[in-house]
Amino acid sequence: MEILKQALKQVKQILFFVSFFTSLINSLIVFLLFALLFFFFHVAWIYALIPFFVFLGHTTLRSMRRIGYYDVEKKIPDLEWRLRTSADNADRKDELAMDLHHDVLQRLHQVSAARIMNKKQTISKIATILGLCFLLVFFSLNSVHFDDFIPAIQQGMSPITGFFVKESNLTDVSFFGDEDGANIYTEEDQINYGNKEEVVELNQMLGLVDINKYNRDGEGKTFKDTAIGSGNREALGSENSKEKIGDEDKQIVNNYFRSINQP
Amino acid sequence: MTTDSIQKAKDAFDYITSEIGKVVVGQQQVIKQIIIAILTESNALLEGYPGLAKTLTVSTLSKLMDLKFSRIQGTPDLMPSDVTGTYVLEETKSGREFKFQPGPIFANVVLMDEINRATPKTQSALLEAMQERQVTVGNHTYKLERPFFVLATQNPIEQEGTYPLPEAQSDRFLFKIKTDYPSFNDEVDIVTRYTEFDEKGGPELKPLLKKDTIFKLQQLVRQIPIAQDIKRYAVELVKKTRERKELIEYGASPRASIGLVLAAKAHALLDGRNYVTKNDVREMVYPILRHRIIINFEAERNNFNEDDVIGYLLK
Repeated sequence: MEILKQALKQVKQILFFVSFFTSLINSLIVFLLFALLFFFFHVAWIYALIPFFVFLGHTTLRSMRRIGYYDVEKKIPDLEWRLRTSADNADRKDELAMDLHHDVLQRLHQVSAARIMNKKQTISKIATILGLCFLLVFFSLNSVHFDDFIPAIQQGMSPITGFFVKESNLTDVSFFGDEDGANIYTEEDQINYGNKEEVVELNQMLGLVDINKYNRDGEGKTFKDTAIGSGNREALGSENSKEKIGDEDKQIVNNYFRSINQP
Repeated sequence: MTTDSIQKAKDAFDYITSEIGKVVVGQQQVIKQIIIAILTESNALLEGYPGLAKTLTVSTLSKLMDLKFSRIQGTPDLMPSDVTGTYVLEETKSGREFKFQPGPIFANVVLMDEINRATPKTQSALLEAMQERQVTVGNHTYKLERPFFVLATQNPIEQEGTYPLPEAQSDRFLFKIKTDYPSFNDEVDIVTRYTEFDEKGGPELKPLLKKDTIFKLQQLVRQIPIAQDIKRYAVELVKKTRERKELIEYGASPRASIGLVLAAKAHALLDGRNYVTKNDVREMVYPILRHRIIINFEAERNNFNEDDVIGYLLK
């Protein structure tokens, strides 16, 4: 039945078109994402065409292979099983088959690309494309590149370790002691001492303080109370030291001990 | 839109269903499946507890068809010759000579009641008739008149003194139709019908389906167009019975695939459609596969029956 065969050919063409259009939209999204990425890294946008064509080719081939009358029947329930049966028996000319062919032909006028296409999905994809276009235009007008973020990134990075750390953590003397429940291990002031020592060590690591110098100068320092866990501790090194320390250094040592004596 | 022939076929089946309904209350699925067996010129095995109108359904149906009907009661002492017929010595003008006396198998519709009570020897006498549509007695082979179908009944209880059908024979039945107890309202109807009216008189049934009509309908069934996807689906289902070793010890043969597609076509015809859907296959898969699979110990241990396993295959 020639008319049926031609009609089925047209249905196939519609299915091919819908499938290609869907692949094209998906590929366009891929293209815009890559274009945006390349723009950030000062790579020419033309290179985004490579993933675009690769994706387009792959998805088109895959969807073309999967194409079938099932897609039409899903959207037009009137044709459910009829279309497939008619297509599979297109060469048959007996009464029953011919009747089915006529029936299918009558219902085929309902088939259109707009009806087969998934409207919701297509609209959301077009919206995504528009959004990506807007971002691309916005970034290009304002010349926003990845380089612009490097200083900001570097600021938050430790110059030695390269890790992102909070600056305040390095200088904040009581960064452990202030936390709730920090004294669950031992007495609060012991923890504080530990914290302070740690901060000093960190500062030394960062090259802010040369503690070795002060360790030497601070030899012979005594504490009022050495019993563990009883009363507040106070360093008296600045008072009892018999070493000769320069005024400038003395000031630093005083500041250091003052800082570690703070509750 | 359907062709006239399909519409006529549908009207005829609606009429048959309503006529049988005058005698048999409910059992719509059973009636439908027996009609499908007739449309596909296949044999059907009805299984159910006693008193569920198995024999009544078949005999009523045979009255609605203008066909030769015979009934054989399966008993342990039933001999093959009682089924196929035998040579008898007859006096003629030229003297005595053996003449073949055809048995009850020489009919269009053969109702083999309680088939599992007959001995395997007698059951196997039916084999050739069911598959080849012919009977061999002595050196002679006699062709059976078409259409020919065996509708057998069996009782799932009272297994003592019964001979379960051999696999080869049960495979020759297209359907194993399970008859179930009627619903409460149907049973009230049955009670009313058989206690308030004269049972012997019964309603008058006019034969509607003549031999030619049945042949045409059988041809029509084969002509129903079917999509390749449906054929593949049917074959896939049957193939699964051979692959799912975790539940099934022995699966169905390709005869089941042929029967499934043919039955699906007949089901579509009864529905007045000139195309087959997946639903037609799904509806026909239970009566076609349930006697063709042997579930394994693991499935039995989990209290699965054949229908449960088929349901699992359909998922």
